[in-house]
Amino acid sequence: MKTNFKLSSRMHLLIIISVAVIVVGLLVGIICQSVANEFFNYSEDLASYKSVTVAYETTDFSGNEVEPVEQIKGFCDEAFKAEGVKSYSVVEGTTSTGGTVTYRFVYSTDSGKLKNAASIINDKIAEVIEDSSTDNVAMATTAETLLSSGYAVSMAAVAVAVIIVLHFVYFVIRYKLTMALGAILADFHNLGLFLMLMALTRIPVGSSIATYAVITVALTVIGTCFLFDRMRKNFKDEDLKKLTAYEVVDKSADESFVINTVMPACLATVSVVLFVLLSISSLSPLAIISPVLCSLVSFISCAYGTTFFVPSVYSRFKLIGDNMKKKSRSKTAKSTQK
Amino acid sequence: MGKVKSAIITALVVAAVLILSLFAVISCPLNEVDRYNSFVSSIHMGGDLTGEAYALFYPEGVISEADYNLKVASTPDEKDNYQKRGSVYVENELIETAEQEAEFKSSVSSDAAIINARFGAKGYTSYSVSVVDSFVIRVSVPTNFTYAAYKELDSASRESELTAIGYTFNYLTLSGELDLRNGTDDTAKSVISVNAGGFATFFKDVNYYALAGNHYVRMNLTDDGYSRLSNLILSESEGSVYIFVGDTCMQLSINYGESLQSKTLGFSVNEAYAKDFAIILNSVTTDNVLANNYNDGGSDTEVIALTATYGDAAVIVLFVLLLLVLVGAAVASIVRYKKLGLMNALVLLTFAAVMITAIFLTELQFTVAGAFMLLLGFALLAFSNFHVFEAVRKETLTGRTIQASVKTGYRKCLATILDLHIVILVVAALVALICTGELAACGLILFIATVASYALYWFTRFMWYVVSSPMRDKFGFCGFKREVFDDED
Repeated sequence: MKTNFKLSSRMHLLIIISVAVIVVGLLVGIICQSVANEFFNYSEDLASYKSVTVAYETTDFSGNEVEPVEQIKGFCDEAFKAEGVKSYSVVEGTTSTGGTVTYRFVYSTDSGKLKNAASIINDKIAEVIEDSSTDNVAMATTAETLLSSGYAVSMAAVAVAVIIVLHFVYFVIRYKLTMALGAILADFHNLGLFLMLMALTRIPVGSSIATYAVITVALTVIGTCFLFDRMRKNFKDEDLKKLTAYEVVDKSADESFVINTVMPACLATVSVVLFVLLSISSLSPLAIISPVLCSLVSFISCAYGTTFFVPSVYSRFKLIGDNMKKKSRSKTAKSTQK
Repeated sequence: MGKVKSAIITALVVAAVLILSLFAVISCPLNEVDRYNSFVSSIHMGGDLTGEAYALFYPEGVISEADYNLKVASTPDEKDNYQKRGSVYVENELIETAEQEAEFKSSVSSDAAIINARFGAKGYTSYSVSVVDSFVIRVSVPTNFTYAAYKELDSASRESELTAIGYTFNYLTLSGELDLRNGTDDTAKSVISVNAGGFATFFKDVNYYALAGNHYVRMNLTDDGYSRLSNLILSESEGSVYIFVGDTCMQLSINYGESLQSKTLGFSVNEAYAKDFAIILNSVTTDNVLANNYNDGGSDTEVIALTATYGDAAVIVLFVLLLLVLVGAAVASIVRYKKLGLMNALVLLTFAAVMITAIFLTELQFTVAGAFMLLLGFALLAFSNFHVFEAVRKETLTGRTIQASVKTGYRKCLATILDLHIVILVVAALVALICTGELAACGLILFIATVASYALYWFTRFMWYVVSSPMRDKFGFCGFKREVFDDED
């Protein structure tokens, strides 16, 4: 598939789009950070969370032949509605004598409201227990969970930093300095765009953000390999010598367009299908939506950055590099003449 | 290559791939008792796919409502010794004043932080430590079940995983300081003099390592610790001393009369708890000692398995989706490249079988993120092959023979494919080495996938040569059209 985007001549527009998204995302993040101490919309396992757990016995405590878990879930829904709190995830478990149902809430949820909800649930359970001598068949408790995903995220950040540095070094050795600059620009641009889009869209961010940040960089690395390999070949091609640097860059971007868009698009499709299927089987579709949106933002950032933004900016790098070469050559020639 | 040779090699390769694929995917009952679990159903899954296991840890003086009703409520004297706090009952003497209660809650919180750090060192793909109702610590880790264990088709594996989690829960929540005693039971006495500053001061740190299938705990002595321990064990000629954490004997012994060869103490430990030993010993040597004793030293800990976050059918959904991707890539390949595409489909199937086998053998914990890394590796192989096929197609358009086109196409693509694989390999290695938990596992999966992708890229060329050799119409084999002139080949 051939495109005719003429990316080199649209550099300013593409820079404006990227800068606008990044700046707006940054501003939204900073405002949220100052107001609610949340640059991203932290959720699940990245930040600590609060929960209400109901542990129950398998006995049909109400005597109406309804599964205990169904009845308890009904009580929980009513209690949470009454207190005006909403869970983002529900997990069921089995024990040797019964089971547990755990509702998770974001850490900013009012603990008092959760304690009230727990006592409402306990009261409702007490109301329906037929045999008053049979107590303790079900009990709701509240909890605050400390999570240390911060360490995993910081290690992922270190890994991403090392990958970017090595990506640059490898491209300096195997390609050219201007291409290495283009590669490092792609890394920063795509990663920045991904993070700022996450801040802007307020998609709940779990520890999976570290995984998707790494996937973003990995896809960028793959994309730049294809893109700059095409450029390297086209710049060496004798038939293309008569073309300007801009035209060669545009041609290379066209040639690597399919591979740099199809791979993220395929992964995005797989991600959407997977999470649609999972949301059917999952107990809490809310737990599914965050990773799927996270992955989509990652793939969009990669496809846009590597296919459109980087070739357009690289065309200027190439021009500057060529001009510098020319100047140094003319200097050398002059000094030789002297 | 002759027809016979080509047929034999092709048949052998196809048979090998199909047999490996069958072993990798098909589970079946062997008799009424035994069952063969395929590689894929024996892969350990993360908490998102096969759920998590948790346990509650009650500090001394705190009991659950169930225990209160069972053991205390019926005894009037004891009944008055407890006060209800949320879902638990706490002994009066622990919370007599508001300051005492706050102090006790704070000690539980700081214990939770220490336990959090200990479980963090274990390298789980996900885990959490909570403080329930301010008095109880709840620890949750992935069950590490295989699909067979999760679906209770392999009860032995399920039991062994839960037992391993139980060991970890018990060891990583041990309270008390490091000590060296003259026996293994409760009557054993400390051999460290009171003014020695504690046995923990003898050590810099403790770590775990595995070598040739054996698992070790290595305790690194300080200079002073080395000389003091040397003096201690040379003070007598017979018998042994044992390492304790609190009142729990770790079954690690040092013999009297044997001089220390280096500033490290190495112990060969059972694989099931070697890492746990290293973590708990390192924690107590670095002054991270729990303030409270939990679950009566671990004897009352009940491990509870929860359902998977993404639902019971998550593993099946994931497997079906990965299968669909494989089938989709194979069909696309066959439609575009005819018999060459069929051969490429065989290579893609080989990749899938190899990856399943590799993940099964390395006992990596497979999560949804891991599946994405697997897909990235798969995409790498598929795109590499499609890239080179297109390069060969371009070469054929210049009038070259298939053999010449393949040679030139592969030569022209070599730099791109090599660059791509090297860069991804480095990325994967860095992620595996630097990151922790789920990402480290993802890095390792990507690393294996990249190596497999590069090996299978060249295997594709080999098979192309083998399969197409006896074919008369080599252009037709690849689904290419001869554009310029007919070649004798």
